Amino acid sequence: MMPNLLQSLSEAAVGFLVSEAKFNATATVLVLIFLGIALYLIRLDRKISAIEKEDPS
Amino acid sequence: MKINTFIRKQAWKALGLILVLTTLTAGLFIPLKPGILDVAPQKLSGTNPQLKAYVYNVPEAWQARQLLLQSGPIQWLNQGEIQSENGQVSASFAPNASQGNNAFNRLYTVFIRLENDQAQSNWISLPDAVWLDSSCNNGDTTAQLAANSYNQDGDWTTGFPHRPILNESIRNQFFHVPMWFAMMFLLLFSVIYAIRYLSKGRLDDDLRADALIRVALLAGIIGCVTGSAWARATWGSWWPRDPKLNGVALGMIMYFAYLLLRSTLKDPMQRARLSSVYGIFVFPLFIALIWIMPKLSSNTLHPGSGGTVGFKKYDLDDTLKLVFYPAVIGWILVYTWIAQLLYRINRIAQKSENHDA
Repeated sequence: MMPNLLQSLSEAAVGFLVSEAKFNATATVLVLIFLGIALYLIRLDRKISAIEKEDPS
Repeated sequence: MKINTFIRKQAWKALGLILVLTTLTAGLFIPLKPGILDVAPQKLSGTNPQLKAYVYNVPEAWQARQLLLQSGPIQWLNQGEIQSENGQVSASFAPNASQGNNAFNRLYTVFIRLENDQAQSNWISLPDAVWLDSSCNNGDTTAQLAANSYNQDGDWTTGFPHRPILNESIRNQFFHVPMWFAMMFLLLFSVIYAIRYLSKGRLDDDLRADALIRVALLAGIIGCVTGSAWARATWGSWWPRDPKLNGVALGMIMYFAYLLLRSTLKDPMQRARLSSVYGIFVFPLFIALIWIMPKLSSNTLHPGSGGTVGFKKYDLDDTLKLVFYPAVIGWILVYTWIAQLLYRINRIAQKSENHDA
């Protein structure tokens, strides 16, 4: 049951990535890059918050 | 920290990320409506000339039924069969003397009528796409253009409008233009903090204004680079002669001068006072250079300029607006967040500098 679901999910994902003459692969890469930068910003924000708490002057 | 405070302090950042992510996705994945990319040849000559049009994104259910050349009141319908395969639609024309000599040596807009299986019609066009040479005139004087109802009763599925020259690059409106909006709003915020510094004298406000200007410059540089690539693809030059571009270049130089001024001053109070005053005075100049001057000028390429008040209906249809406005808000929030991070780092650096001294 479970492997079948995973397999069909992966097939659907591959189907999406290669459609529109594989434009979707490029668009997905762009979205992932943005997600990476967004997560990095969140981490940076929390780090700075931690430093601000250490030295609340 | 209380959960309420956390949400109040961080929600705008989450909103910015969500707006940018959704508009990025929508801006990339929503398809473009059908249209004509190009025609060949650009100049029709000889009797019974053949014209080939490269169509784009036409759904399979829609077939090309008619080709039409139009220039003012003059129209020529295609004669005989239309061949269409692999996104190429070709047909021949038989222009004649029936519409006068005016019909020749002029530019024509190419129209293609597409029909679906429910016999609904829709037109795609490419303005001023082909030149009709006088050698096309076959001398016949009987009109060949049958009276036709140029009905348009079908509609495409939702999508971004297909504009000539722009084609797929119309999507850059969601990515390139918000850079400039973010720059202007961050500069506006920096003016507010500069005024607050001058009235209340808190050095933190000066650090805030400074961080906002620096990140605004980052947005401006990204705006220049992305605009340059877009301009090369559509207007044919990396840096076209355009009042908006020259205004932006000058405006950015004024803000680089700000950075230079700031770096030469060591005393924090003097530095804060001078750069606040500079920032307040340079902002109206910057707005005049990139918004007002291009509007007064008649030879600008950018939309919303050259005498028009703002975004015309033609420039921005509903599907574009639906993605464009959230994108602008999202990018302003994300850039403001980056500026806030820079401010907080600079403040910590300033504090430790004061401790060392």
